[in-house]
Amino acid sequence: MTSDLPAEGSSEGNDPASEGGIRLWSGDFVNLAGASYYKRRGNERLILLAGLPDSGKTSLLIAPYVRLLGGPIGEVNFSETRTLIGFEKRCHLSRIKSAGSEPDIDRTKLTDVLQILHLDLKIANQPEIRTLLLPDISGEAFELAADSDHETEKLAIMREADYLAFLIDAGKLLDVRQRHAAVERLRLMVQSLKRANLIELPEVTLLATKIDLVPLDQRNTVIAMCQELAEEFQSDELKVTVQMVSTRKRAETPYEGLQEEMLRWVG
Amino acid sequence: MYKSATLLGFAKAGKTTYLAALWQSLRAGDCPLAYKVEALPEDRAYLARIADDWLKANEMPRTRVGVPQHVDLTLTAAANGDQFSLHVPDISGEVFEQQLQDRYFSPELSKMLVESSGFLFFINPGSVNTAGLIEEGLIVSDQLKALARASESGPPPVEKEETAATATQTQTKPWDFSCVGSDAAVVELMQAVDFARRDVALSKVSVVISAWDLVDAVCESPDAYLEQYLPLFSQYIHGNQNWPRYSLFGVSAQGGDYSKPDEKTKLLHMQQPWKRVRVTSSAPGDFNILSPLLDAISST
Repeated sequence: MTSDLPAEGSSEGNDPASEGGIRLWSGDFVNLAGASYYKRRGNERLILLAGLPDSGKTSLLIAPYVRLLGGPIGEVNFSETRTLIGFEKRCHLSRIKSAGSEPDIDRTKLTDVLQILHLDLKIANQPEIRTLLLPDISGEAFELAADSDHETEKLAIMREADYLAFLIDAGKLLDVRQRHAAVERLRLMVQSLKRANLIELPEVTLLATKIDLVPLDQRNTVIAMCQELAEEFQSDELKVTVQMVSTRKRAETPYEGLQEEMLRWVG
Repeated sequence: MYKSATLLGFAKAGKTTYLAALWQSLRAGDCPLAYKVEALPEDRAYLARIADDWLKANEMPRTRVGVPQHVDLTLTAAANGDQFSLHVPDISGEVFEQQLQDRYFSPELSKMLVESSGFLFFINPGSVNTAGLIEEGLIVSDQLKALARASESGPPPVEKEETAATATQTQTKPWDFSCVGSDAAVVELMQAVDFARRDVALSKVSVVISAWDLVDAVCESPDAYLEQYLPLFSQYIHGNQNWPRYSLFGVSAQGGDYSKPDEKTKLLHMQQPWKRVRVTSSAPGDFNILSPLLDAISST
């Protein structure tokens, strides 16, 4: 039960709850205090997606919610979310109701307050509820961290991650005009995060996103580039596994690798 | 003994129609229900008004925003004469939507939710809207283009015209709660009711798929309807430990579609209006208009 979770987010001014009404939680996001509540409860998994702007972090973060709207994902069922409004707002520009002509997603803004999405899941034939905590961190924050040691401390939550993935846009890896810069920016980001001791997990994922943009006959090229990067990031203390994912339905293979990625999150 | 049941649901969910059909069934001497209304309630103007519309097979008037209608009935058990008082507030669906958007339950609504013995949650298949993805629309468009290309008689490609049309369509609608699809909206309402009752005992909810006659030909049970059309809500009630007790009903309280003249005439010609009502459930057994209500308040 999440009923005693403190309300957070958008309450402002005088609290009318004192007049006998009930102020609901904001629904936009859970803050760090809210996240601590789930951590005390146990069974939570903090999923951290690290990547530069436009690497597909938010699309991937909201993907479990979007997929659960269509029914269970294998044996994974929806149970509850304290951030339904946050998920819905992030989905909005991909919906017909937004009146947009192409699916889009709002870029996550750099904010002072860490915004965490929450999802409780029920796995078939298992009694306990599994909680996913999904911090939506702006790509700009990772970009700043890549540029300055001073900025890396703002990403201290990374130390608490139960699952960590470095995201790279597979489409950029294929584009010779963007490839080298994209790889170099990611390299700088990972090195900065390592230098600040923000990676405490023994194993992380290098996740090639937007894989639907890569034709099948060029997949091996992308995988080879990612393997090379993974080996570079790897050390005695850190294992790096390469995975690929797409959050698009309008693709040759809709939602490629997404279910497997979500199962890795659930643990 | 005193019980109260709150009718939950968004606009046009079927709450008032259910209440009208319930009242007329309880009033009918020959309707075989476990309970009867022997004494007229003190304030019965609202019930009389909605019953009048129901008997004439007219669409129900929308419950006015900001003015919840309170129905108080004394029900007498047909078997042994035991009595209990029942309070049923009828709240406009727009109130729920507005207060979810505002993230604030008014003192009046809060009191009703906290004091309720059980809940009836109404969903009208005719009002359910999906949160369709732009991608899904584009997939259909891709398929139509492929069909057109494959057929010699098909229309010529319209790529250029579409591009021009979409280029003018850059203004997107800002998000508000009305953008949330029905499936997610009912989940959020149930989560909010659960939150409002965080300091009181767990209660029971009867989920009523109203206008069941619209879907009974394509869905074998209310459970199957939820799985197919409201999958998030279906997962929510099955997998949520805060609502361990729920029942599912399909209720046709109107008995048919009033907009179809033949159907309306047929309903009006029925000798016993209460026989318009049809109730089904995913559970085995016989059910009537009182079943969702009694189930909701049964174990409290």
